Amino acid sequence: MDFFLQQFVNAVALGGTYALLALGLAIVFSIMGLINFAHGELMTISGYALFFCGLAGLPFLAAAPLAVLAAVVAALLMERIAFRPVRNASGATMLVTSFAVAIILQTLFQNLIAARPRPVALPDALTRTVEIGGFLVGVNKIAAIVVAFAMMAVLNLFLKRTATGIAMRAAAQDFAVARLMGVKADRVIAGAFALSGLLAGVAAVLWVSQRASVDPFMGFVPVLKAFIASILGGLGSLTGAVAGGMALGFIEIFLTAYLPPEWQEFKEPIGLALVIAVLLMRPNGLLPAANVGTEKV
Amino acid sequence: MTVLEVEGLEVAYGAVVAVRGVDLAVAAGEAVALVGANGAGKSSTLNAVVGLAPATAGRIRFKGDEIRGVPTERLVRRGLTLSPEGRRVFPGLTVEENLVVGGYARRRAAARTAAEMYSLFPILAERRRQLAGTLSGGQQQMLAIARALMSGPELLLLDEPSLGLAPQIVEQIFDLVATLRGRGVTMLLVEQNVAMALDVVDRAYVMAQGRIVGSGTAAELRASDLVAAAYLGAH
Repeated sequence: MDFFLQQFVNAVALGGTYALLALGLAIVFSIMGLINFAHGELMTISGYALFFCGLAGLPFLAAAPLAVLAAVVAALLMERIAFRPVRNASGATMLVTSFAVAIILQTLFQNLIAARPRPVALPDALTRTVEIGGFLVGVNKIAAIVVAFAMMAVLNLFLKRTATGIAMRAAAQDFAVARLMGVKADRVIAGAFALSGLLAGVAAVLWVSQRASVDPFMGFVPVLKAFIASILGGLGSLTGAVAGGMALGFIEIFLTAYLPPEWQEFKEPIGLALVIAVLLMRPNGLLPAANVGTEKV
Repeated sequence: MTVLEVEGLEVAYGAVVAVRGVDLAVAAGEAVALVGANGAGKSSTLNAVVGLAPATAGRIRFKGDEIRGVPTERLVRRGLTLSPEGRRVFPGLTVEENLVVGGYARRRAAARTAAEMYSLFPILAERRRQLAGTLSGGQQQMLAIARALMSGPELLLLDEPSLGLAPQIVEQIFDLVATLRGRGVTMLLVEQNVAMALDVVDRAYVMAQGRIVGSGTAAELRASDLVAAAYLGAH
């Protein structure tokens, strides 16, 4: 039972991080129809920001907000430099652009920083474990869970209670009519990227706090997972992104925990098979967006 | 004072010319209709005025300023709002949220304007927390008009408000248009339903095959066979 609870905590921690990443992908996708594969590089930028802040002697807690800020700025620059020129192009053009941005950034990280992983010093507090109700839990896991859920709550408030958040949701449903109402296209799209950068930055801090290192491809795998999570949840749906992220976190952790050792090397294909099985039953995902298939911009 | 002045407007989608040389004007306080058969170019004309359809030639002046080429999102701040064809409420937003977006360009006055809308449309007040996509067609049309009014427009462009609604509801919508006119809202109304449109406007233009083929006061047009000819394809 203890083992189960421990794995449960691990699954929520990992699922929460996937959910944040999937939310970032979903926000940009719902507004401009772009699946941003360079989202992972926002994470990596955040990771390197943590690394450089550490070199400069900044404590982790002070470095974390700067690292998140770095991802927000990087996301805004990405939009301005790479995606604005192709905004009205086809989905395929935007997708290829995002791959190009990702590969260019990965190459820059490899050549300008280092090809090998760089260590990030974590505060002692994060590496400890605490005993809750008779079983041991890592402080970093608790922090990841608390931060992920707090972020989701803040995002939810922003999207539901502020005029800007409501305007962004309106633009995701019918961009032309939102513009008729005076919602500025440039601002909404930049806002979507800023939010996705914020979410990627927070996810990066959580990710690094579990692994204590950063490398040029740090963001690649988690964002690939987040992409699968957002498809699983329903592409473009925010609640779906959270559901998909959590589901994927649980699949991954519980397969690792309960598959017999000789099956462990097949855990990824088994996990993906489960995802495919869900999609066969629910082709639009667990909680699809209301406006699947409607026209964008 | 002339609020809207369109001269020699041409709208083309690639090689397809939808509107050819349209001239029209709307003065402050006036309610004007643009009528004609399906495909006559009425909606294209309205969409070109707000920058949602490509105006390939001509002039569009709003309160004396040229607005051809001005981005759609800036027009609402100048006082020009379109309630689009097919209502296009934001289905996944509540009634209240739809109004928030409608008032986005002047957020400071939004709360007061929303209260006015709820008194003008009591049904929307009742359903304020309901998702707009779950409203009936007539209610969605009321919401679309209320949303457009949230920006406090000096000219309201109404595109086919009666489209696809049951006859009873159509009457309600036209009553509403008449009420708005009574309140001094300047309007340019695009309609296929000529008889009802002529009852609620001061003047009308008749369109056929992308051109204005006639115009006059509501009474003049009712007496002439111009409208019937436009619908039967005599042009």
